Amino acid sequence: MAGTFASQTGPVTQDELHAYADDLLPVGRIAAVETHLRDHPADAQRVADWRFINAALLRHADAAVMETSPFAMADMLEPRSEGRWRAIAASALWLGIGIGAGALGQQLAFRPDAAMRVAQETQGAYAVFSPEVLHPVEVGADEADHLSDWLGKRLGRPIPIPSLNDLGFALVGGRLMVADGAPAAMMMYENASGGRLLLYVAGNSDPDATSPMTFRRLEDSGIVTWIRDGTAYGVGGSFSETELMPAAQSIRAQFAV
Amino acid sequence: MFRSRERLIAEIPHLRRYARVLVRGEQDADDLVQACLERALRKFHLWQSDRKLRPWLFSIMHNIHIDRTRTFAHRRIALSIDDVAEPSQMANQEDRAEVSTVLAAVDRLPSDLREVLVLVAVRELSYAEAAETLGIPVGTLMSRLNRARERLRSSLGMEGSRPELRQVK
Repeated sequence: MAGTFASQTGPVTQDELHAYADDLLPVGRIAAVETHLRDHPADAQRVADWRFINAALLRHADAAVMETSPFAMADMLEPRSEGRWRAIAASALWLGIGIGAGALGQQLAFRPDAAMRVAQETQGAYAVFSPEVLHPVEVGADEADHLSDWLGKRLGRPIPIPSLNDLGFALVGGRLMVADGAPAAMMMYENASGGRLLLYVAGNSDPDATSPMTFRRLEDSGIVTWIRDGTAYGVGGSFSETELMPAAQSIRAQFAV
Repeated sequence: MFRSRERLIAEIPHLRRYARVLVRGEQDADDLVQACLERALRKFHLWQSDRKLRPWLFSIMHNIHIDRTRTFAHRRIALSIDDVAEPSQMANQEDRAEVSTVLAAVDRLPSDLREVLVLVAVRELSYAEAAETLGIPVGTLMSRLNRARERLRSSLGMEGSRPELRQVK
């Protein structure tokens, strides 16, 4: 492993292109790879195609967790066959975890993974606030510094207000939201044709939680989510993966500073 | 031991994600998860707690899958076309079509390339953990990953087409 990704300088390697596509690239090399991709359109195309393939497999894998009934999940811990070993193994499991297992199984089925929850929260916020004409935000772009201080104080972590001007999105403003009974932040951006993009930020209960950048489509929205050091991020809007991903990458980089 | 079993249960959603890209058909995928859990319970005393649980469980599932694939090959059981690529229930038609096309192309890859690609694609493990799961060096993993992806680009007609349209900005 060390030999493959240890280098912090020098030319971008093919392995690093894969790591970039899989969101496994060390943060320190993201800028170098992105520069390389700008200068090498053929490589940029390859990475975009790899991400497209990844997204299809991910959607298939995620659907497995989303669609299953809680009962099917709990049943998985029960023996199906008459095999003695299987019966012993299953009863050992039941003894070990007690009758709470059924409830736990249900919980797991209803609460997919943290990244999927962030995607759902982001999609919900987008559906509620993006059509809003009169009051899409509580604090407008003209008070961006105040917005950053306020949200940062409520979420208990620094909340910079990322600029997406380079990508054609101007800040509309932001608001405080509620997620799982805790404060969360929402920022809204708008492009020249009125298309709105939403950034959702929430604290995660597990401070060590991390999750790679992942694109999903929920309802009619595209959503990119990632979790870093216990903070969960969602970027959503009525955009394709190729339109959303650069915004998400830029936001991630601006939060990393 | 109590906590270990709790941890095992917490891994179920992750095992199910991996199972769904390894085999086609919901029933087969869930059978694979169940077989993996059963074997993991039997072998739990062999698991060293300084090793991460997920790569250990994934390697058990991978090995069961390999055993089963071999058995099937010997018995020459033909898969019906319905079993080959069955995308799960998804929000819209477009998604389903896209996923079916990719899954079908993935299933035509040689098994050594396919196993690397699907394991990396579910995003549960680092490259080092994925290599450990499959019992191969990281360098081998990376070169197989590259070959798998380039073959897919070719079989999905991505090579050379739409050079400007889908470019990353």
